[in-house]
Amino acid sequence: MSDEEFLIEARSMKKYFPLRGGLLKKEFGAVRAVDDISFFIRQGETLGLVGESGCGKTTTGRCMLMLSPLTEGDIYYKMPGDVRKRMVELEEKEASLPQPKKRKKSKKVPKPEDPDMLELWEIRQKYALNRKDPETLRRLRREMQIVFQDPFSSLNPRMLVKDIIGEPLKVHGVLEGDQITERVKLLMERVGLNPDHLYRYPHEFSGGQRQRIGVARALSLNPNFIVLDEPTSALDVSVQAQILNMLNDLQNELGLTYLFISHDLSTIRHMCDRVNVMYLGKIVESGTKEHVFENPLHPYTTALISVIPVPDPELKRERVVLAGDVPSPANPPSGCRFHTRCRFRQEICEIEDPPLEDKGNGHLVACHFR
Amino acid sequence: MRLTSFIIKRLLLLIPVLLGVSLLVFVLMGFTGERWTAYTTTDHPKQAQIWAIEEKYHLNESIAVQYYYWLDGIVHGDWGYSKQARMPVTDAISNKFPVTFELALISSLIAVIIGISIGTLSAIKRNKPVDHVVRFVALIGVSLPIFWLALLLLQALYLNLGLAPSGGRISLEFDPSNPLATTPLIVRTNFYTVDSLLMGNLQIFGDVLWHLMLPAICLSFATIALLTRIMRSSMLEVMNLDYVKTARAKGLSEKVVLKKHARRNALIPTTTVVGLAFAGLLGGAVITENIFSLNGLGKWSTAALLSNDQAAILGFTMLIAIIVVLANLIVDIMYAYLDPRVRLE
Repeated sequence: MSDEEFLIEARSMKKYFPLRGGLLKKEFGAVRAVDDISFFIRQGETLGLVGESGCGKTTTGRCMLMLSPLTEGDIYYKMPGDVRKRMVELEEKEASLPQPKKRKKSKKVPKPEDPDMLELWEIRQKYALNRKDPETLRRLRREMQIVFQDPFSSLNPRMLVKDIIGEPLKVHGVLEGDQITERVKLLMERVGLNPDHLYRYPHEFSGGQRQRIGVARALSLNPNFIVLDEPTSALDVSVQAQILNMLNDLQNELGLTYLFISHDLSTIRHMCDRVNVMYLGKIVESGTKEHVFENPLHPYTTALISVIPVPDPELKRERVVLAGDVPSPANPPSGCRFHTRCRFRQEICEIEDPPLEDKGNGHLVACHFR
Repeated sequence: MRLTSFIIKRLLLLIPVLLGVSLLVFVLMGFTGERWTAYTTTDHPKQAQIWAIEEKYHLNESIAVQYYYWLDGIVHGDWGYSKQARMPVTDAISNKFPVTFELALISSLIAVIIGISIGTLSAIKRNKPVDHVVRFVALIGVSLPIFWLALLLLQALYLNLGLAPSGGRISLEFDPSNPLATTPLIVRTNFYTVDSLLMGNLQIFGDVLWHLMLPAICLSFATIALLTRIMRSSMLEVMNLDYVKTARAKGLSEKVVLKKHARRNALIPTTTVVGLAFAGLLGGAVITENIFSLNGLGKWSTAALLSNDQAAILGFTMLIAIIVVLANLIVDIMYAYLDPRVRLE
């Protein structure tokens, strides 16, 4: 990897939800919703995140926007290419250094003394979203927005559409008074809503219309990056297509960058430039749309893609049906997490976790046999 | 316009409710003793007097006919004579209702302010030490018997510290029923707080509030506990919803997120409970009123029950039924105002 510049990048991101129990609410384990994943998104592209329910897609999306705090790792935003290159070098050096002893209950990590490590620390402080203070982060939120899956619970039922869409403008002091109303009208028109419906409440709209309100709200601050968390899975199929096409148009027009989360492979194929396949909190395969759909390498991806319906009754193909259920993320299988359901399982799979390796042209796969 | 027709419809509904309640109580009262006892003031009337009463009030007729005459009286403003209060039931109600209403209002206010704020706090600081303390105190609040708490507070604040009055509504020097009072309160509405303000005498107003404080705090304890728990759980529910996350993603400060987006929505279920708790306080401040010697509805109704004061019991029951129905009506209207999804129909 050269000194290419990414809009947003997650490095060794982990998110554990502690499991507590008993009288004293003692922590006895954790759900490893996201377990050490790294990926990047370039300016203007759409990255798809696909996987079964419970694999950590939504958590990843929320963590990217700091809507829930990370357990470990960093998320870098708008880091210049040369700085990134330097950081990768320094990180390699850091890994070669002896690991400092883990302190208990010390929240503040002291500044490192080694000059290189100090530089690394400073880079991280400067570009990592999760290390920003609340006020800076709040201001940065103008540039990154989210559209939620359920258009019924994501709009405040006690607010008028005008206020739902206009509130961010007011809070960030972008516009005032009548200007806000004008902008809201414009946005409503842009997402295909009747601007006369300004003074209505969310419950007076249908599901598709509510999702359009959600999109208009996300667009109001002219963001750069939008997380689309299954934006169409709660909608009728006919409405899904409308919303997806609208999102595509908006992207072309405004140069938006999307993280598109979905469990529906056909939608991912329609929307995305690159795809990450997740299984139990890990990325198992990552590559361009063509890589993943036409030449899937990981057995999990192969299985997923083999069951996409194809509108051709003549076509005969092998369908791989996965046996069994997804194991619990609180107690994931040893070694390769997919080995309990894998057709090609060997002994090594139970022992060693395969790393995510480049198999050519940026097509990454985590499997011992590919 | 929709609101007016809604209110009218609901008020019309009051008629069958009141008929049902009164019929039930009227029939049941028939089993508690001779009906004529409700109309005498002496314990041992002469036989002739009894006959005269039975004749006058149609007590020889069937219960249906008796009920008809009683209802006729109710409609025409004759609610009978309360021998306990030694005045007509209507006078007794207008005399005692203000006492209880002031008490219930103040104690509800205390409960709403404290209950909602600590309920919210407890939800925000979920599973932190503050939350545990609040929940523990709330549990104690529901479990403490009010008579014990009232006596304890009296002992501490009146007897030991002298910070509170022993009871009653007003100090002797302002008491309108005290012929030796220096500046007696001029009674117009019988709401002493209102009357003192009408007089323009802030000293008396303060004195009235000072008398209300201790009983109101006592009475508010259980309601505080109830509201805290409701507020906490409904706040927790709302805080998990996506629109609160949306609000954070918009870049609102945490304060605005919690106040404007979470708390406003969490208040909706709490409102219902406040309305019904208030109606409950109006009807049931029996123990508090007795301990703090407040001559309100609670004290009157228990005394009436114990002395088979039938007119008073019937009148009191009707009043409570009206209050509960009205409280429900107000809650429903508030609901429609608070939650745009609710339509009045």
